[in-house]
Amino acid sequence: MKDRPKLGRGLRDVSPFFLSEASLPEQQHGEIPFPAPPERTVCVCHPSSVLIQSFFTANLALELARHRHGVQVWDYAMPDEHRVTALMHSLLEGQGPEQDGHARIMLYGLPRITIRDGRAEGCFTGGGDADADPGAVDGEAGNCILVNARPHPDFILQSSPADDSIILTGTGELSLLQCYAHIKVIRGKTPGARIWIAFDGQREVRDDRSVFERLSGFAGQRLDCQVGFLGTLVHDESVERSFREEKPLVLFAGQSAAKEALSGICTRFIEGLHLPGQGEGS
Amino acid sequence: MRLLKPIHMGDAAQVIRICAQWLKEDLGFRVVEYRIGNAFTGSIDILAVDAVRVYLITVNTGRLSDALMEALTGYRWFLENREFLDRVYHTDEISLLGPPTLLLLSPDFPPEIHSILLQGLKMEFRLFRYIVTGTEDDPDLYVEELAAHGLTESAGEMDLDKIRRDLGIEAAGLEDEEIRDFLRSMRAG
Repeated sequence: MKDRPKLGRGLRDVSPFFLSEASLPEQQHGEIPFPAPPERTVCVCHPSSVLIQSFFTANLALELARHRHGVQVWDYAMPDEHRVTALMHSLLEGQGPEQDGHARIMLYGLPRITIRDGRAEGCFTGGGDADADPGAVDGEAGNCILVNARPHPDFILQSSPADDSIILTGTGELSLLQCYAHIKVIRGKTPGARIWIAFDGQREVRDDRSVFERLSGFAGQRLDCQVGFLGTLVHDESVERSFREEKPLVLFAGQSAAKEALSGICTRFIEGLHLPGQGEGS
Repeated sequence: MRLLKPIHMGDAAQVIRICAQWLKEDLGFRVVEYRIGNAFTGSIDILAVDAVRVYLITVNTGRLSDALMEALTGYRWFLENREFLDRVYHTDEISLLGPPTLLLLSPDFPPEIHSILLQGLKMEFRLFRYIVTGTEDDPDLYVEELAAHGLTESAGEMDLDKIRRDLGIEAAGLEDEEIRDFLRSMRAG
């Protein structure tokens, strides 16, 4: 009789994959009918405010984890009090970096978030080295390396390319010019990278869509690149409370204008992760 | 760690005094007088001079449209009465006969303010966004200039190297013409 594959599988067959955190043994990987989700590198920079940049990175890390992405943050921000670890201090396992220099956050039911201090290296050189924390990148929806950049064009030029870049910017002319300069540097270094803009407003920016369209129109015309709009960050009392309590805003109970705006920006970005990049088709 | 959040100052006179202090310390202005004029003649919150120019300064503490109307009315009133005012305030260091510039300080401006004012006004003007933080008893002022009037026309005179240095964007390799085009495009509305 011809040997046919079984139509069903017994518990013994599926348990190594579905019933434990351990992945299948190496020789069985070929039998999984879908490929592992790709790892993405996301660079976050705010040329005018490292503090708000790190605040955004901390919250985005949690939102990515909530959407089942494994997250590893490479933190290049300075000074110390403006770093991601400072803004998430209340959540850190052991209240600080461990012996390997990494800080870790483990919230119930979410993939672990690892924060790595990148200051000594000066620029991001890629996430695949031996010091990386494999336990941190166990997301079912794909893994993300979040680069909390040193917000300067030189950092982008010297670092490994990112798949996505998020630029936070004010809406004054010079802030927008600074933002455009970063777009140009990213575009020149990594033509296929996707670039996202979020405005940082002390109060809600009126007609922010119109401001964005002027910026993206100019970038499209001059640099032949598309830029995505994520929305406008709002500052209110809850943001200051988040700093004071060293806890990301998205974890606070109740609603606030700032939390609503921030969640909307993160959601739009995470949804956009599944869209094709520049030059990958529409 | 602390986020400097804006506070609302109930006492407009105090906001004007803080702004005047900033004008003196940061821009090197000499303040000539406070709160000249009235609701009918228009009012100038701060009258100041430097070595060359006269500055008519309005500090918006309420609605921007009201402040703008007040500033424009005060400007006309000043031009109609400047010889008299010069006789009153003239010293060796103060002359009110220099070219006048309107300064407007406001917590917020609509994005199109430049194109609107460039199209509508003939006068020289400068716009500043300010934020008052801290407490009413111990306020701190943060001011950012939006752009100077006439920048589009006088783009050739702009110190673009300084802009590049101040913004830290030398490495981006932006050409002079590219910066000018960008600023024009952002103002076009």
